[in-house]
This record gives sequence, C-alpha cells and structure tokens, in this order.
Amino acid sequence: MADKKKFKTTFVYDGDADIGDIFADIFASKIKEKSQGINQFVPCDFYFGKTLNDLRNSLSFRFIVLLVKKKSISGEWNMSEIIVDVKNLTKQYGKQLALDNVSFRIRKGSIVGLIGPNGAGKTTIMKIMAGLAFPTGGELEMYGATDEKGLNHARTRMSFMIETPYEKERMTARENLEKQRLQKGIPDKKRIDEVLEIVNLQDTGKKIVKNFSLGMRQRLGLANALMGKPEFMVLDEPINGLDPEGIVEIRELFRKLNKEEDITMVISSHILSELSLLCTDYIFINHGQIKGIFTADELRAECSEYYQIDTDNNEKASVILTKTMGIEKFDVQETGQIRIYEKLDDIHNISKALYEGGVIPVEISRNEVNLEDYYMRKVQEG
Amino acid sequence: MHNLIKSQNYTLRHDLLTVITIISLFTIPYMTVYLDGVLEGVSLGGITASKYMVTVGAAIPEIFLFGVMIFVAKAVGGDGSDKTINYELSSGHSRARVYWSRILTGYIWGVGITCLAIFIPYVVLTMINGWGDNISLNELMVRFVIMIFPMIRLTGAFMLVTSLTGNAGGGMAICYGIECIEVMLDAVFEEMASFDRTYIFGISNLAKILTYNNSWEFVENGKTVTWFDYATSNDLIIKTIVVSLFLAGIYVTLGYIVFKKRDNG
Repeated sequence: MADKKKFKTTFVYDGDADIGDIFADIFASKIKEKSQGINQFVPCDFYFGKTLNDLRNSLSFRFIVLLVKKKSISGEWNMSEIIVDVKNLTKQYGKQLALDNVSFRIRKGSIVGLIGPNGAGKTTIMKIMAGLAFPTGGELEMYGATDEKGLNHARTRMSFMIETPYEKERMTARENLEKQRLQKGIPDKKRIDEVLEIVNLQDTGKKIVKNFSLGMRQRLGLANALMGKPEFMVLDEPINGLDPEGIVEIRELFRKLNKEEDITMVISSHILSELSLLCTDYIFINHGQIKGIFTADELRAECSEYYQIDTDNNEKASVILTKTMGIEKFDVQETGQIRIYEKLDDIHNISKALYEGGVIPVEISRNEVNLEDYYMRKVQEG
Repeated sequence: MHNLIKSQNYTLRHDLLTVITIISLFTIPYMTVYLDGVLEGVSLGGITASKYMVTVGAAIPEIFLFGVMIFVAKAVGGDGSDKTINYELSSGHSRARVYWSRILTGYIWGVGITCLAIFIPYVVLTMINGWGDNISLNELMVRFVIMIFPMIRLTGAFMLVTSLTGNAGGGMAICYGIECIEVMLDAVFEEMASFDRTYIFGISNLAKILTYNNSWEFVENGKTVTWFDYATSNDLIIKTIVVSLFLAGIYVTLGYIVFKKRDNG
C-alpha cells in the first residue's frame, strides 16, 4: 500500500455510487498526472464500494483506485456521509465582513437548521453554496468537489430557495415551473403537475403570480426547488408567510422528503420553535461567525432543564452561586432573573446558600430550555 | 446551453412587452407605407417594394432599434430584474453557459426577429405590387446582408449595457439615452464633415448602408422613373464587417468578464 500522506484529494463513494458522478469528480479534481501502471498512484485518493469493477472496465486511462469501503476521518464524522464541507469560509463585501472563517459540515440525510439574526451571514452562506456569490477566502466542498466545474456538477443534485422565491410575476405557477423544467432539461412535463400537487397549488389555474399571497409564493418557490428531484435542498425562510395550517403541512412535507426520499436539507428560519420540531442538526451563526454546531441530541442534552430564580438581589445571588456553590453554568436574563443549568438536584442547598448569604429568593421555578432560549444564550455569550 | 436558450425563449414568448413589440415591429412598416401614401396622395395599392425602400425604408431599421433594445433588455436583463437568473446559476449551469446563452438569445431576438420584421414588408409589397423600378433588387439584397453587421454591433453594445445594469428596465433606459446621444453626435459630426464618421457609431454605419445619395431621372415607356444609385463599395462592405464584428466581440467579452466575477444578489 502506498503512503497515504501523499494523497491530495479524497473521494469517498458508497457501494451504489453513480459511475457518472465518479467520473465527474475525477475530471473535476484536475488530475493531470497519469499513472504509468496499475500499481502507481496519482495524487488522489478514491474510495469505492461495489463499483470498482465497473470503473475498471470503463476506464480509458489508467489510475489506481484504492479499495476501501469507508474511511472514518474523525470519531464522529463518517466521511462518506459528508456532502458539504465548509472550511474557513470568508466573505467580504467592501469593508464589511459578512463571513468570518466559517467552518461546518453537513451529513447526508440530515436536516440542518441555520439559525442567526438578520445580517448574521446565513443567506451569504447559502448564496455561496448556490454559486450566486464568490467567497473571499476559504474552501467550499460539495459532494467531494472543490473546483468550479465540480461544484456546478454538485449543484445539479441540489436545489435552492434563497430569500424571496424568484418568480415571473406575470406568469402563472405552471408557466413558471415550465420555465424551470426547460432550464433544467427535465423531459417529463408531468413533473409540473406532481410538484404543484405536492405543494398544494394544483388549482391556481390561470392566476398569475402577481396575484398570489405570500404563502402561495412560498409554495411555488418550494415547487421550483422540487422540480429537479434534488438530493439536497437549501431553503431560506421556507415557511415565511405561511398560515399555521400551511406551516404544519410544509413541515410534514419536509419530514416526508427527508425520510422517504432521503433529501438532505439546510433550512434557515426565524421560527425556531418550528426548526426544533424538524432539524437533526443546528448551526448558530452571528456576525458572520459560527457560534455553535449541535446535533439535535447534543442540543437536547445541552438544553435539558434549568431552574429560574428571582431574588431581592440578583447581583449578590450571582456571586453566591459562583463562590459558595461553585456553579458556573448559569446566566442572568435581561429581566434580571437567573437561570441555573447545573446542580439541578441540589436546589435545596442552593436556596439555603442564597438565604444564608442574605439573599431572599422570591421565585424559584423549574423549566425546560427550548431552542430559542438556547440560541439566545449562545448569542449573548458572544 | 440548449436548455437555457429554450427556457429564455419561453420567457420571452410569454412576456407581454415582447409580444407588443413584435406586433409593433410587424405593423409599423405597413403603417408607415400607409401614412406615406396618404401624404403623397398614393394609395396603398400603388406602392411597390422598391418605392417603399427609397421613400421610408432607410428610416425603418433605425426605428427598429427600439425593438432591438427591448428584445435585448428582456433577453439579457429580464431574468436579472426578477432574479430568476439565480435559478439557472444554482442549478449547476456554469456562468459561461448562463451568460453566452443569453447573448445567443439576445442575438436571436435582437437581430434575428428584427431583421425578419424589416425584411417581410418587402416580400409582402413585392407580392402585392411587384418590385418596382426604383432600385436594383440585387443591390438591395447586398445592403440587407451588410446591414446585419451593424445590427450585431449595436445589439452587442445593448447587451453589454444591460448586462452591466443587471436589469431590463435600467438597460433599456440607458441604451435609449446612449442612442440619443449617438444620434446627436452623429448630426454634429455630419455638420463638421471633416472626417469619415461612418464607423464611429453603429447607428451611423447603419444609416450609411441604407442611404443613397445619387439618383437619376429618366423616361421609360413615357413614364418618369427615379433610379437610385445603390452600388455598394467593397470598402464599405469590408470595413463594416470588420469594425462591427470586432466591436461586438469586445462588447460581449467585456460583459462576460463582468458577469463571471459578479456576485448575484
């Protein structure tokens, strides 16, 4: 076996990897060096499953394929599952730094909630992924590709709905989708009816988009995103403008697409309670910087429960909690109330310590942190 | 790229302004013939194709430049105005494909449709009233073919402007402004008359091709006929082709350089 250190690029494929995709990646990796024999390695590292023989038979030139089914790069991430790998991504608009060394990974089959306030950099990340904006620095890897050609190929497997859905105002929903069908080269016209039915817009008839409600536009945006049967959807505020019934409907649609069709999703939304019902992973971003990356399980563990305490002197209470009780995981809310996230079984001693320290607790309640609370806490931590 | 062009053509075919423009382009020549006939006291049925050419034909391409502007603005900037171009970019089409498909669509509509609209009245009038005896048909055909090159140049310039503005409305407005300035400057240069202004502006090149200065009157079968000298010099043909293609190439390449590096918001 050759020394692995000399490999420059790693491609990892499942057993059912498509030969076309593999070739696209190979060419996208700009292999210039051709091997002289079957036992020499070009500076790339290919991992295949069952497709090796197919590949060998199909190759018109020689290069080595290292047959390893899967390689785990870290203890937590199986590289064959990583479809997006963002490394130190930076974006600057004039003097304004929109993204500052942003790094994260997205696993196949996950639903990632991209959470942050307005201007945090969420849309910029999505635009760079969509090829609408260029990064100032860092690297974006999607489906193993990092160069422009490879990224464009990756985008054929993805769909994007960024900011307000872009539509031709004077066209009907069907005409807008026909435009997308032609542009994507989808041969089957029935796909339009299928997606219209999925998003519940099949009865809009000759109504032009200009006369659509915001919710209908969102649905049409989703229909557009679904046209090409994507493997990966990037959706910016997809439930914005939907009525409560519509939100539930779209949530169920996302779940269905994720479970039944294994579609990976990145969703940004201000409605964090909605994201918490849907997402498997969360990325918190603020001021162009990643503030936290969690799986739903990690978040549940982090969020768990807390005690909320209100006293006659919360400032002094904070000192007592730190010095007397040795509690570090607590924060003071804008309202002045204190939230304690550790030693939850020791509430008697906590209240006793506060009382002995000359602080009178006026309210103690046990609560559960939700995604919104946790997000606010992370953002406040800076 | 074929898919992109199909999609862009679909959009243009379903655009109200484009449809109105097409209808206008195909009706303006007949309106012009009719009005000219009213002024000269000639009925519509009496105007031959060659008569139409020598009386109003030269002005038609200039009028048609508005059509070119609208088509180009819609083809190149229409999807930028409503950001539907972003779907093309995020669907995995390279920037080169997205840009050059627009340029081709722009040329198909800007030059193709417009030239067709210019040409059809001659065919119709020839079929109805015959060619007539004011100019040579062969010479006119040469002029028509050469006319395409300044049209390519002008379309290229319009596409560059629209591409820079990134939207149809802005593109149209600026192109119109530029054309007005060009016409004005062309008139000023004409007064100065100290140098050959033919190739400075696309519009002056176009006017030169479709203008005829020398005419003779002679009697044929007892009828006075005005015969226009419509001979085309090789110098005019070659310079028109070279200058037009060179400048059009520069315009569309500049547009591509900007488009390739620009963030789409």
